[in-house]
Parts: sequence; structure tokens; C-alpha cells
Amino acid sequence: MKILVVEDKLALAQSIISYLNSEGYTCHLATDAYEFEDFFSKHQYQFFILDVMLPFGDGLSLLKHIKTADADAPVMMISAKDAHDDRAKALALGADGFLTKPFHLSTLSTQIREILLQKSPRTALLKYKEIELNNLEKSVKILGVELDLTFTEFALLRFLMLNPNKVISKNAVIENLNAQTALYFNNFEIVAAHLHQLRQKMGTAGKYVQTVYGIGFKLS
Amino acid sequence: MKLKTYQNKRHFWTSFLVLAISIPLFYGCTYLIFSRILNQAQVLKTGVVALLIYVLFALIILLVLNALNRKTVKKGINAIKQSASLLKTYELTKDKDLLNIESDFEELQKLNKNLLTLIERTENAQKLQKEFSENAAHELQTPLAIIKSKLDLMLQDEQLSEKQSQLIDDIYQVLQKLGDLNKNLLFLNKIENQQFELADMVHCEEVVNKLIKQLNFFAESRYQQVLFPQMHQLTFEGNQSLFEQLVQNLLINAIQYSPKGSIINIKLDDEHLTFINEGPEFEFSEALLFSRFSKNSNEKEQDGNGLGLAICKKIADLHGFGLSYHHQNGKHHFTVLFKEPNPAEVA
Repeated sequence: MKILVVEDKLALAQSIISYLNSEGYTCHLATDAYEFEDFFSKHQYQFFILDVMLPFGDGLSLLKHIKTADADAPVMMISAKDAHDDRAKALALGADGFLTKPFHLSTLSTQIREILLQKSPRTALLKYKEIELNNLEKSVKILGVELDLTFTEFALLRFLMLNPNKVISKNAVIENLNAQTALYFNNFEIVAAHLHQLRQKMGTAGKYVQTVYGIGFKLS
Repeated sequence: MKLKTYQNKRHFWTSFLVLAISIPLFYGCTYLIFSRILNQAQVLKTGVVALLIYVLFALIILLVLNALNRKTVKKGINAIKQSASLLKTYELTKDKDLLNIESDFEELQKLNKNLLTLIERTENAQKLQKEFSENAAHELQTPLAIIKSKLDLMLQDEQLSEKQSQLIDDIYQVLQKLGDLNKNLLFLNKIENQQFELADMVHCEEVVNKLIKQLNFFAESRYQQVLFPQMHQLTFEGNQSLFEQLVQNLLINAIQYSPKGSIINIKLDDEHLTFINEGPEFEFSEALLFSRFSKNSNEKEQDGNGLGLAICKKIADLHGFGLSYHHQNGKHHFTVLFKEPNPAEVA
């Protein structure tokens, strides 16, 4: 899958591209509105990541441009400004997601997958080895046997299954569970408590949910 | 110049007045005298008539002037009054045109002009401050985002030792704190600049339910239960996202600072929304509780950034609500008092 990343902060753009490459995506980088025009006219992309503030133009007008050409094209906006209007405007213009910086790369990657899942309902079923997670029915089966999970446990497992073989920091887990702030919490304790329950319910498949040095988690 | 009246009693012109003007020349030696001779009776008669006419005239002029004066002064004062009352209710950047009051007086025109200049300057200053805040946030969030993303990449390295992982984790924690501190300071700044409108119909019980659901993972991990009996509904005009922030902060505090396995009660009636949770009494006063960065008596136990309750207080103030605290029977009680505007109860 080919993704066009439009971001003027090179250091951040490189991180994003490096992480997305490791997940099997091919990425092109445009650092301003002109470069975007150039790439956009010459290539076909299946996903767009747009920064709101860009040299020679802003992300919102690029979003309009993309949506005029193809209303169905998946677009994710990222912004350093937590301005309410920007988010509202972007969503009104048809953006599929809006992330405020700073975010974890696993959050970005998860959101990309979420958007792609929404666009094609055929992939409602997530699989990892013998674990099967159904997005629509909100159910999990292991070797055909359904698990009785709480809302939080389901969300946790889903997050890990969307990021297999990646080390996910506990802050990233909380960022995804709460969609707000990870502060105030003793994060590891919270996540560990839920993961402990989840692992027990998963039986032998619980071994795939690993703890990494007490700082993060990994489905592997 | 001296005016002298000479009267010679012994001569026949006794009955005449000599009106003389003496002008000193060269060190007072010589006098030049101009005189006009009048009959005394004539002088009296002419004098009295002239005096009467003069007094009458003066009276008329006085009355006319007074009337004119009153009218013009009243007009001027009205113009000033209008400006003053507009200034009282004036909101920056909103109704500047209202202040363009027309007046025939140059001084008042000048005053109004200066007033408008002053307002323009204030508006510019506010705009600059707003822009600065926003830019500061932008400039700070970007490097934070870069550091965060580099750490995320580093964490994927399979050669990473436990010690290195721990170091990464330590950086994650401060980074999170820094980012949130920045966000919260800006948020406070925004509230103080009154950049939020109170135009939403907020359903209090819905907000509470939403946040209980959102923060349930936190309470669950501490084996706590959040109880909120659904007996009351309360609707008021305010700002939805601000009120959600208020409820979120109070609920996070209740979960964070009560023991594992305990119960958190939330109660709603026509006048109050109360969060009750177990916990030992605070060592500081209520006033300190709601101020910024003031609760550092035990740094170890404080996981927050010291702004949560200050933000709650600001949000309550903005809505005209009260926010109070008391400790009773080993429990903390944080109460939002819906005083003004009177919440319109929905049965």
C-alpha cells in the first residue's frame, strides 16, 4: 500500500516513514504544498497523511483538493495545534481522522488501520495465529471458542492485534484506551492489571501477549 | 488711572459735577484734566435708568446663556454617558462600531477618537497574546512529537537491553508530563481570555455517564466501583467540552486518590453534583487546593501536574458555578454548586 506523507518537519516525517515502512507500507514524502501537487499528479496513493500547517499552503486546502478528486480517498490529518475549529473543519471537509501532536507512532499506525477497516467491511475480521477478533460483533474467538471479555480487555487485545510484533509502550496503550491524556495515571499498573486478566481468559494463547522489561507490551 | 469727582460748595456751580480724569505724566508732576460738566439731578436720573437697563439686559443675557448652556452640556454629558455604558458592556473584538458615537463637540470627538485608539491597541495586544500562545504551543508540541516518535522507533530495536529500556521509559514519563503541562497551561490561558462560548445545552447526567464509561479502565484496574444513581436529570446552558473536562478531572482525582477496592459515589440533585471518595484528610487549606502548583507538601504522592483542580475552579467560575470541598467521616467531598445561571430542570 502506498502512502503520501505531507509534513514539513523532516525529523518527524522520517520517524513516521520509518515506522510505516516497518509495517510494510511504501511511503512518499512531500514537505510543502508544491511538492504535494507534484506527487499527487504523478502517482496513485491509497492513503494520505497531511499536516495542517505547511509552507506555501495549508493542509485543509490540500484535503479539499484530494477529496474533490476522490471523495473516498482515506485522509488522516495531523496537527500541532489543538484548535477545536481545525479539527471540526477537517472533519467537515471529509477527513477520516485527526491526530494532535505529540502522538505515539503506534497510535498513528492504529488509526490508519482503523480507517482502512472502516472503508472495507470485508476485513472486519482480525486474525493473529489462532486468535480471531470480529470488529462488528465485538467478539473474540480462540480456536472457535468465544471469550467473555470486558470492554477494556477487548479494546486492549484489539490494539495489540492491530500492532502485531511491535513493542507498544504503556503510555501508548493508555493514549489509545483513553484517547486523551496518559498523565495522572500509574500507567504500567493500569495496563498490567487488565493484561493479567486478559491473559488468563485467553488460556494458552495468553503466551502471545508479552511484557517487555516492564515498560511495554508486545503481541508476538 | 484715577477717577476723581470734585465738588466746589462755595460757587454757583455747586450743583454741577465735575468729572475729571487725571493722568500722571513724568513722575506724577503734571496732570492733564479732561472734564465734562453735568447737572447733579441729570446725573442721578441718567445713572439710575442706565443701571436699570443694564441689570435687565444682563438678566436676559444670563437666562438665555444658561438655557443654551444647559442644553449643550446635557448633550455632551449624554454622549459621554453613552460611551461609558457601552464601555461597561463592551467585548473586545466584537462591537467596536457601537463606539462610533457622533458628537458636535470637538473635545468629545477627540475623546471618542482616543478611546477608539485605546481599544484598538488593547485588541491588538490581545490578538498578539493569543497568537503567541498558539504559536508557543505549536512550537513546543512539534519537538515533543519528534522526541516521542524517535523513542517509539528506538523501542522497536531488538538489541535493546533492560537498562536502556528503562531509560527510554523514564524519558517517556517526563515527556508525557511536559506535553500535558503545556496543554493545560494553554487551556487555562484560553479560559482566562474567555475564548470559550457558553452556548451548548449540557446534559449533566449524560456527561457524567460518558466519563464514567471512558475512565472505567482506570477504576477497574484499581478494583474500584463508580456508583452514579440515575435519579436526576439536569440541563444547563454552558460549554460541553469544558464541563466534560471538569467532570473528568474530578473523577480522575477520585479514582487516583482513593484506596484500591473502594467505592466512589457520584450524586446529582437540582443544585449539586458531588464526588465522594475515601481518603485521609488533606494537610492544606481549601483555598490552596484550588490554586495552581500549590499542593506540593508530598511530591511523591502527587502524580498530576498540580493544575487539575485549578482548571476545575476556572471552569466552574466561568459557568457561574461554585466548587467546594469538605472532608467528612473519612471521605473527600468535591461539590459543584449550580448557582447561576439557574439550571433549567428537565423532568
